Amino acid sequence: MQDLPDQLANGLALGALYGLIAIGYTMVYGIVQLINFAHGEIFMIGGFGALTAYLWLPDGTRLAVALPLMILLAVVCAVLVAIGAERFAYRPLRGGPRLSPLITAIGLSLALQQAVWAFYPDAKKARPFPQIGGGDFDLGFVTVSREDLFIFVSAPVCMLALGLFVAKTRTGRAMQATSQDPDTAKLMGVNTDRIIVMAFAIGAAFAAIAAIAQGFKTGEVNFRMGFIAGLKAFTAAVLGGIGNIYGAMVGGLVLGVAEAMATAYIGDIPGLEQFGGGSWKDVWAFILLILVLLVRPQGILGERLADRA
Amino acid sequence: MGDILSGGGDRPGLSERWDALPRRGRQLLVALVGCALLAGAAVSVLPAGPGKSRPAHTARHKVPYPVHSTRIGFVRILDVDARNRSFRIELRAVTKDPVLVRRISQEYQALTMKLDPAQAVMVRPERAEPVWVRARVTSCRDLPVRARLPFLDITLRNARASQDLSFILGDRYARALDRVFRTVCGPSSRR
Amino acid sequence: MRHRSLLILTATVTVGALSLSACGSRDGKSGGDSGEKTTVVIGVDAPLTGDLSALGQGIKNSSDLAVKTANKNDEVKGVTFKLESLDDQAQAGTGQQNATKLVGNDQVVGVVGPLNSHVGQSMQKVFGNAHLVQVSPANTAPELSQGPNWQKGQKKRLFDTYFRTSTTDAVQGPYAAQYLYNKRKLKKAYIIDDKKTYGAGLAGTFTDEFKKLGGKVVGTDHINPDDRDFSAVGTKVAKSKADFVYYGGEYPAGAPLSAQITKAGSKALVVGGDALYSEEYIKLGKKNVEGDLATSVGAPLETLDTAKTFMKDYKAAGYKLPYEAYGGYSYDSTWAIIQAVKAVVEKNDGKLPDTIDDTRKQITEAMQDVRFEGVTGDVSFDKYGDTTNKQLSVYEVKDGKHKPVKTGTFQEG
Repeated sequence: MQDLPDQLANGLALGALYGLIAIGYTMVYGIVQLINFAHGEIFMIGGFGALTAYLWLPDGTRLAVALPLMILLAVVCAVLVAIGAERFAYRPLRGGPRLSPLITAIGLSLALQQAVWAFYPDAKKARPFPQIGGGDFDLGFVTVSREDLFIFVSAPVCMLALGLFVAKTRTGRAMQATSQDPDTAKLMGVNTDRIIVMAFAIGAAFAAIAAIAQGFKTGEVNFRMGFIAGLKAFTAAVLGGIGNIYGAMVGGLVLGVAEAMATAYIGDIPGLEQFGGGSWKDVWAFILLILVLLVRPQGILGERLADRA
Repeated sequence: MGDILSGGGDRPGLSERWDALPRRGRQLLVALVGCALLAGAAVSVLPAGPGKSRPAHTARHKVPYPVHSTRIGFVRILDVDARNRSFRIELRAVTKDPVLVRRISQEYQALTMKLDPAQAVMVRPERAEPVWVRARVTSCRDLPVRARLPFLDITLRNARASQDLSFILGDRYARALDRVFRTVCGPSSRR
Repeated sequence: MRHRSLLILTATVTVGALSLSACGSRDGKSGGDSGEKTTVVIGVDAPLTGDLSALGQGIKNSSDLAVKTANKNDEVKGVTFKLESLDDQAQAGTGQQNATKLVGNDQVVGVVGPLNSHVGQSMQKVFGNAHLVQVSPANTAPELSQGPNWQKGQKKRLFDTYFRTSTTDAVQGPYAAQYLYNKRKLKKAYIIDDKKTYGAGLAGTFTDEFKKLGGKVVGTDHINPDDRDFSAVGTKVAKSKADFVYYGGEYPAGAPLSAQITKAGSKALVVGGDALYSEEYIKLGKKNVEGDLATSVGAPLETLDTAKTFMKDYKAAGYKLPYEAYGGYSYDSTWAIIQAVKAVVEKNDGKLPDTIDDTRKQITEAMQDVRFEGVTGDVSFDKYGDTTNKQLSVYEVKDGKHKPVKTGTFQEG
């Protein structure tokens, strides 16, 4: 157990990444009650956007210079695709049966994946992602790799910005209003269409930042990276209470730490040797999800949905 | 061309054509085919070796690296001397080009090996050459037991290059070696 | 308007899908009249897309080169070869479908592939029932040729249609163990595998030999081959103070695994089998994989004069992607099928037997006796269908390149 601080750091880094993606699921769901299964692919496109920015820059550009541009292009790509998806795939179906947008989302997810696979140069296999390089930071009780620093800085900044935005700005309050009751909000003069686009855009921007973090972490981006990450983030959103932005981050952190702990320690428990390690961590993460939902069906920070429906 | 004509005799198309030929034509053709067959046989016999059917040979004049020309197999272990903890290994080398076996060792910590007699062994393509190695167990503590694929490190030199290669001698060698270790160090040497 | 754009999209996708599937189905008329050339098809099955596509495309291109060479040189009189390549996406189910499809095409006389052992396992039975010969350039799991109980000494060949030109893990794992323990003096191992037929098998044979030599296994772990986050595993490895990690698996997960082990502060180098021996491994892992080792089948191609011809021809043919680890073996696998066809044609008075079943049966029989000097050395098969040329090499990542450090020859007897 002496590596507990390190494993906690691993789990938090992974969890913050899940949390950032989960924001997108939770915001869209909170406002239009749509599970945007294509969100994982938006995340993936963000990763390719960042890679493109890096490839455009001349060789040998310092990462300190490249990183802002990478973030910018990643966010722009992801947001554009998300807005496009909302405009052309989801909006025509709004007000239709609940299942139609869901199926559309799955189809869109496949289409985006295949589009990147087919049209991005050399994307049929994993593309290497730039690395920060250099050793790790040894803080005495815990060592953190430089790549993980990115997520440890960006996740709190993003959360703070989002919290302030939702609580303090006009648009943020309009967002809250729309999520509570879209029809009344509309009657009060809120442009709900614009709010919905905003929700998609913010989710996409956060996913793009998460994608850069993932690129740093794993050293690659590939056209399938959105599937598993999206699934995990969706789980995090449900775990934290879907519809609640802080819940999404909390859910992500809980899930990430649970995965790290399961990988690290389950195998040490006598009798559970064969259920430990990296290949069983997902099973334990989902067991945790089921347990939490048994006790709190609305998720960790979720509110009862009885008054909605 | 020869084999197609002679091989395709039972096809109707050809036999009809054959009948249609004038007598002299037939004789000429038979003679030609005969010549072609002879030539073909000569060509296939001359460069001995099975089925060299690769296209586009370049660098033919070069001798291949020892790794591709030489095979070394295990024959037996003998002269086991339990007191001195030593034994001899007989190997058998075959090669396509002349090669010099310069050094043999097995990288076990508790085992030393050298050629016996101590000078390098010349192996020629004509016949298999026995290669003798004297081995000594220096310590019974670190000997592996029941290892499946022990290999010898052998330095070979031929006209092309000198190479340091591993020869994995297979199951029989592994078991023979194991038996020697047990004889020399007692059955309970480890595990 | 919206509905129309959606409609157009759907229509486009449908048309695209249809035209794609139409590409695959072609009605073939086999055989010709005595004067004409018979066209036969050699199937290729490999992962042409996805993570392992670098290796798969190398297999496809190399087979293509062999077929083109055979046609150009008129290797088999009266027979023209054609290649039909199918993508198995490294999935057993897809591989099996491809196998069925190839069997159904009555121009197919032999199949090269697949890359993955677990895919090979799923294809074997289909080909076995149809007597269609299969030569894999890359399957290394021993049970494919020697049966499930090979380790207990009960070797039994299950399918007489299965051949391979690559060495098996029965040699690869133990050879790595001997090399690391005795030559490198590395005594503490951390074993990780991806639970697939290939990875788990390789890690198993390695661990077995390493323990017998006196090596210590300080930890084991299994990972999901689709995962890319291995930070928790990396920390475990770092804390275990292992000298090296033996990874039974393929480079798509292996490269990030190795990189993240380094990032976790571990000095352990990562060692693996032929599926780590790819340029992609270094591209993905960058500096973090420096010093890592991989064993791979065969002697380094640079030491083979026949291989130089192959490399030159491959370059001249202008393929976009490199031939990778199995290029030479794929060329030889394809060439073995061509030689088997040649033997059958010669036996049957210059043509192939009348029925495709007969042709396939005879080609399978002929394969057992095929012998030629190939790109990777002498090619011939033993009674299990394994190659008789059992060589393998250890490669080390040095300055961003795999450099050969040691070559071994396996000789039973």
